[in-house]
Amino acid sequence: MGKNLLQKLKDWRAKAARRENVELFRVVANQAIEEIAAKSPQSKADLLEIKGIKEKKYAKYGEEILAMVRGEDEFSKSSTFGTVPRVELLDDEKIFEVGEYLDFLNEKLLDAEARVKGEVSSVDVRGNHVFFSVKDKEGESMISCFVWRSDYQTSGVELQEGMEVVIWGYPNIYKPSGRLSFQVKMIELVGEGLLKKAYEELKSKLESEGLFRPERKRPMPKYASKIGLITSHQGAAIGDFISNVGNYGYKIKFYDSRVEGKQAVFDLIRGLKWFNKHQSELDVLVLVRGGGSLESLQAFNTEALVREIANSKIPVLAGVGHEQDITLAALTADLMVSTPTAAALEIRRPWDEAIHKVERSEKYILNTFQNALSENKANLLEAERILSGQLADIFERFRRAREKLKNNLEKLKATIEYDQKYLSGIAGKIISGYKRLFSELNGILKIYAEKIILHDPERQLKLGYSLVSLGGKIVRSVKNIQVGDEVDIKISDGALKSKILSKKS
Amino acid sequence: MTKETNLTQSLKKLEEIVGWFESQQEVDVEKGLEKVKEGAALIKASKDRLKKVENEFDEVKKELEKETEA
Repeated sequence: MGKNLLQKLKDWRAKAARRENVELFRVVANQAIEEIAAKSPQSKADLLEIKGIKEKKYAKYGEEILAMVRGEDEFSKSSTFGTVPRVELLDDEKIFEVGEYLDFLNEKLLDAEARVKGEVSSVDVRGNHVFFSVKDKEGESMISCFVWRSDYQTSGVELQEGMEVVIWGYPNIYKPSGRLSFQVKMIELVGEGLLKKAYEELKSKLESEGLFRPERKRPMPKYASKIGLITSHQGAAIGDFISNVGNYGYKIKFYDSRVEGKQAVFDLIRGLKWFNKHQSELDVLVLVRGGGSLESLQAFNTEALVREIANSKIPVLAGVGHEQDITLAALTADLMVSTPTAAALEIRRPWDEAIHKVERSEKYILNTFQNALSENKANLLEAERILSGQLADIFERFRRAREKLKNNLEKLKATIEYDQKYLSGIAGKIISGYKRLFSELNGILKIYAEKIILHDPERQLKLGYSLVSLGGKIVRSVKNIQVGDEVDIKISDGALKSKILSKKS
Repeated sequence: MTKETNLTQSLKKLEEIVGWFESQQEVDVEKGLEKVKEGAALIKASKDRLKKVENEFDEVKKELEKETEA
């Protein structure tokens, strides 16, 4: 049963690989196939235990594989290649049915993958596939060929009768007719002349489409950090790139791709597709390989790859060497340089420059500021000196003023005290003075009173004296009076008016 | 992307600070100090990003590629 299952799985895989135009191991690795056959996983969990089968693979093939394990292979009935036969390989008694045997053969024929050179003798393009035959230039040998339209287009070679080509693929027997045909995956042109011609034609076609125009080119990221690298694991290119790109903590995702010969175009395209689909956040895609002839660089001159580069969402940096003509892939890339090393330096340069820039800025800022500080320090010192001088002066003046004020205040105080004493002294004196004055005055007044009484004119008048006045003025001398003046005479009991008749002195 | 954007921005700001110092006839110490502080932080951040760091290198597992064509 195990063997039966193994064969069933292998047949299924061969079909899936053809169906998808990929190598067998890309569907399921041999080891995984054998493990599945041995363990007969019954569930998704069982299947995921198998090394090489992960979620994504399960999502794609899981159901089919489990169905095969359970013996339900209905799925294959609709297939081009018919039902999968139950082949008991080690059973010598085994008698194949025809279809069964052809499936068995086709599986075996996959190992006969080869490149075959010949001249195209007939071409028949139909729907999604192309039939043609290739024969030797001399002699009778001929092989019928079949190529899927998509592969034909990827090849970028337009088949014409008499054209010399190299086809790459494996033989396959078409079961309904039993005819063997060569399942072509890639068609290459032979000879520098033809290659050159094809190159020029494609170049002018792409050029007229504007694919190489500078305005189409996206700028390289300034500080690329996430890098998708597409090149071969073998060869010098990968080493040249890695050792020259510097250590700036890049995250490099490497996609191993053939770069030699035209078959490389499949890997290159897959790499570009893979990065664009799964790592679209990458800063740059780097496509590198060393120099080579037009023939060895064929993959880089195929339209399919050029289109893929043109459609890449991630900017593409090409570092593809060449002997004569720049590859069309490089011309389409956003930036092209002529070697893997140059590509590495292109990525590295901004980082190196940034270091210098930071160092220069650091020096400049600190120097400028330090100068400013020392200039200011000098200014400050000067200001301090002036200020402290001025302050000293102000303080001195203030001190003196205060001193003076203090002195004055003391003086004032003394004065006030003195004045107070003086005043209170004075007050006493005044009071006693007044008292004395009063009593003196009283004495004087008494005397005056006596004197007044004594000298009262009224009293004199009573004694018989009279007062003569002229015009209200007492007449004390004859000199003040003229003859004829009318004078008033006052006597004790009345007044007389008389006229001066004469005067004598 | 952030780190790299920061580096670009840091360098731009650093350039602005340099430009500021260049444009000053006489550097105001207080403002200058602010700029120096800012600059120092930017320089440190930039240098951190620019110091030698081992690259991460990892190869794309081809099994995953099937899904790209699905």
